[in-house]
Amino acid sequence: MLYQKSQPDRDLNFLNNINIDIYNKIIEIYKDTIYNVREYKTNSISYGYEVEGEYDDMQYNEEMDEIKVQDLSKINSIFNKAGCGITNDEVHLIGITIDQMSQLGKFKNIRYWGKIIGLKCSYYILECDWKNKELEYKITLLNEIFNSNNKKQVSHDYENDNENQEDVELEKYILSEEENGYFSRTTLSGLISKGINDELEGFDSIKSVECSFPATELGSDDYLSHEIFGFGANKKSYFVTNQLNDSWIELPLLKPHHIIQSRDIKRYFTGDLESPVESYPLFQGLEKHYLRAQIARITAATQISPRDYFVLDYNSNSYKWRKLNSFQSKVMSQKWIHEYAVNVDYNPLSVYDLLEPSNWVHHTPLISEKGVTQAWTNIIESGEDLQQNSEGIDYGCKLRTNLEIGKGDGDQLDIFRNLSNDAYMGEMPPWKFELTNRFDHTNTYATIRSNLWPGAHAVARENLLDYTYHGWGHKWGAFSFTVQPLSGYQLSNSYQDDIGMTIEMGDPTREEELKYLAIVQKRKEKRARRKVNALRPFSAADEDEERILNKHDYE
Amino acid sequence: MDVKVFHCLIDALKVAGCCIYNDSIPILYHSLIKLQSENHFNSVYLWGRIETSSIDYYIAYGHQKDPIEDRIFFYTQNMLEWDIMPTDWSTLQTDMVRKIKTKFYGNPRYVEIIGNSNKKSQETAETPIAPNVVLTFDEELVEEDINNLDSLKYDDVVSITAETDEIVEMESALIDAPNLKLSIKEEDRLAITVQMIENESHIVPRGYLYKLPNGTITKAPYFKGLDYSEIGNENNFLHINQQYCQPKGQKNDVRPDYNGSIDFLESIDKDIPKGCWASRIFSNRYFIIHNLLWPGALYVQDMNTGLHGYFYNGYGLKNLDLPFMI
Repeated sequence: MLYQKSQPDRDLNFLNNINIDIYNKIIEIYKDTIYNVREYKTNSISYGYEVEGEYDDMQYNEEMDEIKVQDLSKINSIFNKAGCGITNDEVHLIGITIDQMSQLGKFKNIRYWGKIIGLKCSYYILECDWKNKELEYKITLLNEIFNSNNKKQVSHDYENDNENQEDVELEKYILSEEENGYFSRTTLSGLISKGINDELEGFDSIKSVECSFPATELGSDDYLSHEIFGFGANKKSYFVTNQLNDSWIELPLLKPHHIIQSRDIKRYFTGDLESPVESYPLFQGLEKHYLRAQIARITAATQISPRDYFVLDYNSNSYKWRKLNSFQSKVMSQKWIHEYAVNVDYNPLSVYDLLEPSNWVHHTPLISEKGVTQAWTNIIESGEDLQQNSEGIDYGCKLRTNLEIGKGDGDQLDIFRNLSNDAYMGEMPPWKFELTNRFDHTNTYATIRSNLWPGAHAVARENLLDYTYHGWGHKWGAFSFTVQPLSGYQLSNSYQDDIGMTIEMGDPTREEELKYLAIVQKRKEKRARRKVNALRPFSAADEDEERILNKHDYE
Repeated sequence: MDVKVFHCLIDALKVAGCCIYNDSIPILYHSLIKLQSENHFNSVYLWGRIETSSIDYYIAYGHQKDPIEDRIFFYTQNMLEWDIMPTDWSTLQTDMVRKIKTKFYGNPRYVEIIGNSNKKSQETAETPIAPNVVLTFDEELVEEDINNLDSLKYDDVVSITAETDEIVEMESALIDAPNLKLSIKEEDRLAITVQMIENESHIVPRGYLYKLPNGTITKAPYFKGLDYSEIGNENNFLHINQQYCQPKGQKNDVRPDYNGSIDFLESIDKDIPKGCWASRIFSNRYFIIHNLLWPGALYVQDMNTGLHGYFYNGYGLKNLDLPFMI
């Protein structure tokens, strides 16, 4: 006891200290990781158990922590069965990008859209759905930019039409705070901040391009204003790249005139987003706009699903759009009509039933002749006067009741149109239904190829569905590409009547020439005779008249 | 594409967007090997696929000795039994195939009819340069003609009535009456189309085939594909076409490194329209050259291994819009 002093054992102490130091250091090192992992879990993983709480409102309020990411490697093996897949290398590289993007927590849905082959490079395309929060944020940012621009220029955009000054001021106040947050936030996410910047640049460039066009060509009467970011045809953003290890670039917003003009032209993509589209009739934009327009057209025409596979997602309507001006929030409150979700009660059809066109529907909105979706046209038309607001809600209710009764197609809104109603191309059906494997029926998938857009495929079996595009980005033409004639030019009828009947005439023979000369000679003689007759004297009445005239003149 | 290298080039086809159903690849492979042994072919090739509106055609060919002259083409729909492709057809049928703008129907016994309504316009495409024209001389004198007599021209006096019914078709023996509809069996159409695609778009790298002094053509046994320095030049791709195999006279525009034994074929750099070949390297590995005139025709080469091949996967229709698109 005596010898046991409380003197610390230096060695032991040293060892203890080492342990603590190491422990602290380890904690320091891994703190970030642990923190990140926790954040990651809460943000971006959707657990299976949430399915149980499907009808719980609480879950939908938090909505959007859920992110749906396509399982590309699994799907690609099916695409390969259907002959429209990509290689495994490409799948892995795209998978890395999708994973990075999903961890940003800004998207609620990411999928590989497909690939468009160009003459020099090809485009890989990702289709992303922004979260509502992110959308709202970006629109307010756009408002900010527009507002600052409007102060300089007198010309103003539709977005501020019904806006009184007070709201703008208030908005700006909110924005300035928000903006600081934005910039600090986006420094973390290089990819997306680039996307935003690109998009804003695109916006400005479009504005300037539009201004530079003569008013007659791009009158505001001819084209509707484009759909706002996050609605209708602009609901999703598309990221493209030429090289999979390169950065992904967000395509600009879709403009109606790009859709309209792209319908008239047929050109190969070069693979350079910034290259001009040299075409006749004129396309007013760069290749990225052409690409965006083609993507929108293909998306609208070829994204299909078995009947009842998708249902309208009413719950997406519950989001409250704050911070937007009245027009935008009105538009966004109608956004749900294009939101679809996988039907939990979907009753899978057999593979053979899936070969019937009547069992398939389009689930993306159609793009009208004016280059916008029908819903947007309705909004624009109703947006003329403010009192329409309530009507819009009525309309929404009507639609909803319609859907519940089961007449979901609706005459005004084009949701879930049946494939059997699609127009034929001449004698050719618009779709081709086939089994991927005719020999092994336990392992076969139904594949649907679009004849209208060669390269668009959909594959399905039981609960599994996906669609992609792998082609040149051209629509099938039953007839050869014909250029619209110039506006002032009219086809002469003689050519129209019997087209191709222009025949070369044989040279006249000697006899025919002699005959001709004889006729001419005869006519000349006749004429000479007429001239003699013409020299007869005036009648008396003529003479009188002349005298009167002469008199009148002289006096 | 040689069946032996087919499995290795699947990825290249995927990159090019021309792949066929994965599940049918082993079936095709086995049936083609069987075809090779049955016919004692030296080698057998999967030529491609023609998409139809019901069941697709797969086309293959094999040769015993001469890789150009002796080729025998086969087609199949069920991927198991290969039928020999017809080889004789008339020029009239070739012309008809050129005019058909629709997809294949998917049944070799289907008879494509070019309707009478179309016939009028098509016939005129065949119109001889000097048709039977009846000239009627306008003898009587009209009042107004007197004043502009000096400017009277030959055309004013003569009125022309063309007698379209008597325009002679090139092979008039086949047309009994002008009302007879032109028809062609799809099997023939397939054969003609394949031959047309073959003549215009089947290419091999320079050095792959060479001609022995006695005139026989063989494949170079140690050919390893073109390398990076050669691949960018369209001079180095040669058409496989029987008519080029014939001995030619002295030419002025021969290439500087002319070699009579390997340059007996025509290169693609003079093809019309200019720019109808689009070549690039995908994924830093696969060299792919698309023929834009026949969409779906392509030549691929794996730059790492030197394996190469030609493949066609399309509708069997020519892209006549090409001048507007490039």
